[in-house]
Amino acid sequence: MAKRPDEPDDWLARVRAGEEVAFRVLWRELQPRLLRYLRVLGCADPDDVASETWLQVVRDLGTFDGSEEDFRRWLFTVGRNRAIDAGRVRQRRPTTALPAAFDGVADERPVEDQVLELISARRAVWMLTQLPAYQAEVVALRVLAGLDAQAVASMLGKSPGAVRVALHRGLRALADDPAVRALALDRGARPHAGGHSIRSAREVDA
Amino acid sequence: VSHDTPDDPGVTSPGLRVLLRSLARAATPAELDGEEAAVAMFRALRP
Repeated sequence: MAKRPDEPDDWLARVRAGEEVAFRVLWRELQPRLLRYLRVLGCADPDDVASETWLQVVRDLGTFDGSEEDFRRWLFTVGRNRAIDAGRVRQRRPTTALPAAFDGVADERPVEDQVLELISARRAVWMLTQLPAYQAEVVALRVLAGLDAQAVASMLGKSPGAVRVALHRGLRALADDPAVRALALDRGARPHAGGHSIRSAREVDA
Repeated sequence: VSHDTPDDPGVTSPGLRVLLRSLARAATPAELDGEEAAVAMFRALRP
């Protein structure tokens, strides 16, 4: 059985050696996070940008020499550059209410397989995009890419101190947002017994 | 990838913890739609 990519012993070496199973596990782990990050950036076509990102990363894999965190930083940097260079990052950040279509992309897994306390990732991405762009990106890189302040600073050309300040301000703004505060109340009100339908779970998130 | 939330005082907010954990939650099927194409690309270009 393939090792998960969060077991940082030899997964990267296996991918670099051309092992298909290792790549598949790696892709499944990082692709959703890359897509969400691109959406936080306001990327108009995150699926296409993500595909181009992986293409470039695989092409250049032979030249990569680094740790697991280095790889994540590389992947997200390539994705960021692809999105920006192609002019596919929206100039205006979304300010309207969450589109109704977002409710249709909630997890399709059986509800009992989900953590009921959570909302859909798309809804979470949308709430994050209500922050100023820089703060939203810093929070996304910390949470989605799992990068520390030093790595985020290197990626964005900022100082680690500036990144920490942006992270703190972004998190504080989110924590003070009535919609975010209401999440805890919503979750607290949700029954935790099994047997809920997907429909009912979506209604809670709607 | 760490699934921990950032080490910041603001993360003590219950609502924020829900938001950040949701942001990093498991993939949806739609997010994995391109898996076979990605693996085919890897197969063609792998070192």
